Amino acid sequence: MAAMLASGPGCRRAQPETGTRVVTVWAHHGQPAERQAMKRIIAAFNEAHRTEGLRVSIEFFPDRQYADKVSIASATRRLPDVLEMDGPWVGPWAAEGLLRPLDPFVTSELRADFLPSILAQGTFDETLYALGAFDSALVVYFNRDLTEKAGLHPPESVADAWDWQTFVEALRRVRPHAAVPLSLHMDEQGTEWFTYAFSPLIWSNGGALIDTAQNQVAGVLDGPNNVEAMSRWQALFSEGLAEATTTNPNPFAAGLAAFDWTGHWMLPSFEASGIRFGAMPLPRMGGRPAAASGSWCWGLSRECRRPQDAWKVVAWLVDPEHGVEPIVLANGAVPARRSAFAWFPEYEHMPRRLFREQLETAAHPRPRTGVYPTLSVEFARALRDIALGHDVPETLTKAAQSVQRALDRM
Amino acid sequence: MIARERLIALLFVLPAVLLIGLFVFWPTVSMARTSLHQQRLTDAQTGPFCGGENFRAVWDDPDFRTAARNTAYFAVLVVPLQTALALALAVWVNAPGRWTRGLRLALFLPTTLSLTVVAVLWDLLYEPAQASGSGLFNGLLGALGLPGQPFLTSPAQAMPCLAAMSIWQGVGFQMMILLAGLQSVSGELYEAAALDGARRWGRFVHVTLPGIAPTLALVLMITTIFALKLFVQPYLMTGGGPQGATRSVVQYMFEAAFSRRDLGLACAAGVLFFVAVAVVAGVQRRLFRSAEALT
Repeated sequence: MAAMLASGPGCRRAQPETGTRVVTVWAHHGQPAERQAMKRIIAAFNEAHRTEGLRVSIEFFPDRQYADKVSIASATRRLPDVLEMDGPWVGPWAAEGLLRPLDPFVTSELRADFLPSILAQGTFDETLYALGAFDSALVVYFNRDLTEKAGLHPPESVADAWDWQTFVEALRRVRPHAAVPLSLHMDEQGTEWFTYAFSPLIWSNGGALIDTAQNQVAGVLDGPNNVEAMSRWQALFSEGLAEATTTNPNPFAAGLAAFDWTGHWMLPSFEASGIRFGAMPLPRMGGRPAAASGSWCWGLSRECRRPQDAWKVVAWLVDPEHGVEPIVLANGAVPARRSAFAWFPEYEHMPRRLFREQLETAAHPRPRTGVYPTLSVEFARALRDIALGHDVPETLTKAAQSVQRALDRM
Repeated sequence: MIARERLIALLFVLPAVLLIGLFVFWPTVSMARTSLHQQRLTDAQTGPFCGGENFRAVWDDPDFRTAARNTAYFAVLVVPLQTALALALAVWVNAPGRWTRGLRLALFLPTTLSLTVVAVLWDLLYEPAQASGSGLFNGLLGALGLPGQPFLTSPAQAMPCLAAMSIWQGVGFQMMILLAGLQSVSGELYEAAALDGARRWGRFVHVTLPGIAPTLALVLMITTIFALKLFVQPYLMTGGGPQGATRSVVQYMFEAAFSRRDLGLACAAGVLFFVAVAVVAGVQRRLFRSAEALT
């Protein structure tokens, strides 16, 4: 009987038969394959915990409204026991008291198996609030036919990453051979892409988006290192090496772009396109290597009724065999646990070897702060204006002051 | 008997009163209350009372002032143009002719599309000229040998571009209302005016306009309120940019609530917006009353 009920996830707070403990879980829709995999992971959990009388009831919500849905549920005290969140929301929701610390459940042995980027993403105020099954990777793909014509030899490891000057020089050399020397996906709707993709330039140049210790954005986001980094980035557009606006969401797969600054999620479309391509680490804007990271992860809500049971669910979702392997197989993201790479031999080879290497050695999480949603919106706006040629110091200062005003009222 | 009729009348209005009370009146009161408290979006309890502090923060926020200016600019662009165009189209399709039915349908059609769909389509039409492809408008300009335009990526052109799209999408609705007004003007009045020697323009000014004055007043007021509620176009097409040139008041409220997570601030902005719209509508009504009294 319990098994029959277990095969029907999505029925919200269904009345359990006596003796069954139900853990409610909220997740984002994701791609259809990802959602199917998630349903199978939950069904397997229910099957494995049937004798224990423990059962998961999962509900999915559209990606774009997910954060608003959770926020409003918090105001009306209707949070589930376990909730999924995109990496940058750990900060705001931990700050607002929606989440319950995971530290009591996480042994040092378990901790050591996660990629450092995942632990950093889940940590707010030195407390661990979230763990994920996978992480994201951002690299620069290159079209081998076009780069070979230009006589270029892009590097394949973080240690050999190009500096900015070399990168720009390469773009200039490939320009006669490519309609679009570098694709930066400036057509992306929403704002998160911009903060995700271009913050590494800030970090590499020794800058920051926010000083969380001092609660300071004004003078930080528009600091001299950031102005320098963003001015160099702006030159890509003014020199015609990248397009500030575009109608084409995937010029690289069409063979039009020589380089493509994008994530692991584009890899399947490149593989299917039949072009010859490789991947190189993000170029260094300044002295240190920096890469992007972050993706959806799991935490316990403030309203979690039986934390021990809820933790069992989170532990299952991030378990290498039961959680990580099936979901990564479905969404192509980077496994978040070192032991899970055993299932994915492709990480021995390029370009996935680089995904892992960047996450292990150079990745930064986006800032974990309550003001992050405003910070990201304003920074993305500033980046769009800068790409269109607007004055860099003025644009960054305007953004910094808007965020500071929000921060001062928190 | 009368008591019974009253009871029945009450029963008839009850559903409307309940629904309006629940979904319009109560949220408005609740917004006004929240605007006087410190309240974060995710707080389950109302925060401490803070008097006019939220209002001061909104008023002092340069982003709000920019949004208010932008919204006023949009209304100033849209209201006269859209109303005049709607009137011209209504007169045009009111004249008897073979194609009038088809024309009415064609002009009304954009109104039936979701603004979201229209915004996404026009976003593509406005795309700048680029190596990887141009938008339709820039393609046409290029074919005519004219220089490409930045449209949505220029702070000066972005708002007029949003206004043009909004007029195209909304004008059919106003046209239909005005058309109904035109058809209610008695034909005898036109005959009488013609006998008195009034020409076309004279008949339009002295018969048509006074005849549809109440309809015109309604159309102006609706268009103004719709224009002031500008949100979808900047939210989807420009994100409020470039350089904040298209950020609207409703977008400011949305971001105050869901990005800044500052519900008190968002509600204070909402109250100010409510008052501003009420004042504008009230002034319009008075102006029309005095104009009607003159004729």
